[in-house]
Amino acid sequence: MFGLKEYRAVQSLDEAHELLMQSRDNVILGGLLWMKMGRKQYHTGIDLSGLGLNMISETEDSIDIGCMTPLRQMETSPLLHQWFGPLFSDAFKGIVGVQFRNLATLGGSVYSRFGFSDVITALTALDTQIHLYQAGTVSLSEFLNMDQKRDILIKAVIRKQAVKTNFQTRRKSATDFPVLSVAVSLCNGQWKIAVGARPSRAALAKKAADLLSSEPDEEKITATLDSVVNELSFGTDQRAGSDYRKVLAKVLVKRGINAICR
Amino acid sequence: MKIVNQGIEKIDAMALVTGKPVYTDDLAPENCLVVKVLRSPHAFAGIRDIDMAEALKIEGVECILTYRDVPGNRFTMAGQSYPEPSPYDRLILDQMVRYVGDPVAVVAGITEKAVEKALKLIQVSYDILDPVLDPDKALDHKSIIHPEADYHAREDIGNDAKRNLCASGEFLSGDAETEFSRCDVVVDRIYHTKANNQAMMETHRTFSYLDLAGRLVLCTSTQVPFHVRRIAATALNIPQSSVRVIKPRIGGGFGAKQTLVSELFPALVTLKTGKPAKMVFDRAESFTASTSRHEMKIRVRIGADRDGHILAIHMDTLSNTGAYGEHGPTTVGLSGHKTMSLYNMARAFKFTYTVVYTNTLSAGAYRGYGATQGTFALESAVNELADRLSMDPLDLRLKNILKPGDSVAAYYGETIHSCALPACIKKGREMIGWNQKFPFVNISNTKVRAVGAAIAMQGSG
Amino acid sequence: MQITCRINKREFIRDIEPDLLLIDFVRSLGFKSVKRGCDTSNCGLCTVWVDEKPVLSCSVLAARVNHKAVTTLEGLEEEAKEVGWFLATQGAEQCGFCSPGLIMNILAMKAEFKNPTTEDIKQYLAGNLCRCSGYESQLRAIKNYFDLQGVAHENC
Ligand SMILES: Cc1cc2nc3c(=O)[nH]c(=O)nc-3n(C[C@H](O)[C@H](O)[C@H](O)COP(=O)(O)OP(=O)(O)OC[C@H]3O[C@@H](n4cnc5c(N)ncnc54)[C@H](O)[C@@H]3O)c2cc1C
Ligand code: FES
Ligand code: FES
Repeated sequence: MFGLKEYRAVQSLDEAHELLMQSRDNVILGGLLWMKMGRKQYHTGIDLSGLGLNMISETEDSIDIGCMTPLRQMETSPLLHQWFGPLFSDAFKGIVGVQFRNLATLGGSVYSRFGFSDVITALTALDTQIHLYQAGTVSLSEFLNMDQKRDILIKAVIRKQAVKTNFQTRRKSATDFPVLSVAVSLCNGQWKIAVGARPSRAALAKKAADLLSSEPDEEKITATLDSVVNELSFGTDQRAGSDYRKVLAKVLVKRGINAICR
Repeated sequence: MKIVNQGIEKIDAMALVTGKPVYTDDLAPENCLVVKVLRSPHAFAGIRDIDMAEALKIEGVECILTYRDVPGNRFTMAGQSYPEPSPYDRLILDQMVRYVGDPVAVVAGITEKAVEKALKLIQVSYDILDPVLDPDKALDHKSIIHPEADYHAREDIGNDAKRNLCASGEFLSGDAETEFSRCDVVVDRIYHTKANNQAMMETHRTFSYLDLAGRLVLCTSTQVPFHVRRIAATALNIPQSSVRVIKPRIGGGFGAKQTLVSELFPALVTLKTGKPAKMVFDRAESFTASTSRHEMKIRVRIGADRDGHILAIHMDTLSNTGAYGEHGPTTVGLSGHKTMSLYNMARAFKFTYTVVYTNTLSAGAYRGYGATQGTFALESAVNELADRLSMDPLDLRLKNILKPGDSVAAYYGETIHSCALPACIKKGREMIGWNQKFPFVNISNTKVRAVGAAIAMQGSG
Repeated sequence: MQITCRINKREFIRDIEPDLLLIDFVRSLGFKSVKRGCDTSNCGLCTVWVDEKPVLSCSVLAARVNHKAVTTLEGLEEEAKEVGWFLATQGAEQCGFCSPGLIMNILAMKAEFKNPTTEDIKQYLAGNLCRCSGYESQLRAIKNYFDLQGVAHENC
């Protein structure tokens, strides 16, 4: 089991960051679900719970989700439903269970940059920015690809747009990690196709998406599917082989596109 | 009908659903020493030296026990009646470790943290040996998993430890080879079933203390309390009258608790220290250091005439019992006897089996107890046979299965007094809509829905 | 460190280790209905409510329930009996080890849904593993409990 010598409920982000920088053995506590499984003995666990970062709020042009927001809160948020449809509830419903998702946080889920992350796949299909304490504001894809420096993820900011979305995933059993996950969105005639758990982390199939019009015909869709498996890399792990993932990607992306066109 | 077809509430139902403290860990005294085990990272090795000087310095550590501290009586952990068919191939702690996870040292301390710290500080040097990992190569492998002189089997189980052979045997009824030569169709296949874990929700756990009369009390999550008493007495070299076993409500077993697993470690600590002690397996430990279903490779030959009369069946089972022989000699029997018996119309049966040791987790009991593996193999073969005969697999079964009053050849000639199998098959066929669905129907342009069949029997009483 | 919290409406002030998990905390206080079935936040046996929300007590630091209200099955005896009766009449409390966590989550679901569909039930309880029941008897019991089939009391 992991261990903590000290627990600190901080009063400000400054205090949190200072503590984080004090020692490599200090750590930000998210929902703890992943961290708990490790064997590492930490010094100070830094709890951001008291900073009001567990909220989903609306600004003029964005929806902001604080890092301590539990996944379950995102699923059931009327605000997120209003703007992005059932994207988050569809994406998160396979993650273990309700009690789990009442704990797992947005911050912990994005910060850990898991390849299998349904959370990251869903956010990738939207226009998402990540606010970090030190590195400032970066796009989600920049965040995913930048050097992993110790920092605090403060919130995710999603641009408010009239967007249609759909989420597709394949799991070996109901609440297992995904074998593949796909999020598709259509906004102002522009498609986004995010494919995660390949098994590497979610990325956009940009060329593929550009082949699609607002109401693509069967031929365009077929060309798009071919492009998805050509432009993204698919790998092999204990859940599935790369060939299977490619076949699956075509099926799931197609279902996603069709669901939006319908 | 007053009783049949009516639900009966169990007498413990309300205690269970209101979460009353009825399971082992709920009953343990607060002051139990925490017991954990250092496990071997090697599949096969001899222990050269164990240095525990640093570990013993940890505050709160009560004792660290190794092979030097245990009685030298070999025993089996399988919960089985006299004369105990599983070979006596174990010690509580041995100088030789035989699978990744085999216990090397037992640590007891006041807190879990102290014990964990101590576990990390124990230094063990091993003489690493060449492990036997493939059951196909186990027999007469140059590594002998149980070379010890005091190894012994308590009855004739076709055992030869020097060949890594835990058990073997043969059963014949009629002349199978002659019957095979008369068959129009013979299916010959090998089916490989893997080791599985019973995965009961409550992992293995035991606490122990000395009672007012100085008896060792073991309160343990087990399916076999009486066997625990006898085996613990043997293993600890104390009289049975000095052991009392309490089995509280258990959180599932599925056969996993038909073998001793966590019992002897706290028992040993209590005997050495006089103090209450408790061991709770974590989930990973329950998977890697308990017992599994026996992995089996089963070759099935089954032959019939053109009209679908099964004439002969031969099953040959290779069973992997892992590092120790728990339930090895007995589970294997069910793979043949509990399966071929259903096809009592056949004229000849042959069942041959080999149970081998390998350097993997010991296998043990798991619901079905060997019949599960055999059923998968034989029933798959029967379906293939039906296909080869262009016969409906249910019709093929109806034509060949046993009926009440039969002397069951593959079940040692015992008489079967009642059997509703034909009625079950017919009812099942009707309920699932077999005649419309077999072998499959197209339900969309990407999916078919298929039906298939298997039959099974199990003993009870 | 010291924490103050309410468990089943009773106040507790205790000195705890910073990495003590809620499950071990409540069990040490005698609330033994809370069970541990895994090391990986997967099984749901340890479900309790923190401020009325169902969570996995194996994955919550006790330090984090400071000034919060925790509910375990011991605090819901009457409700547990009611749900439990439905489980018992379907034979869905076999070994019973998973029952407390399951009932905690059924009751949480009841607070969120008046009339859950079968799909809702399956979704909400997906994180409550049971090795014995195969889920069918549980599902029948839960449907009866929510009176979906209108035959709550006869169908046993
Ligand atoms: C058994 C299991 C099954 C899972 N299955 C799935 C699945 O199917 N799909 C899926 O998408 N996910 C799955 N997950 C992942 C889960 O959804 C969470 O993403 C994961 O637990 C991390 O979130 P957390 O809040 O628990 O973070 P923690 O475990 O607390 O933290 C994870 C890491 O992030 C850091 N961190 C947390 N918050 C911040 C912050 N604000 N700023 C900087 N660093 C931070 C922590 O220091 C730590 O290093 C699973 C996890 C588990 C344990
Ligand atoms: S103990 Fe399994 S989820 Fe908490
Ligand atoms: S009743 Fe045994 S695990 Fe559910």
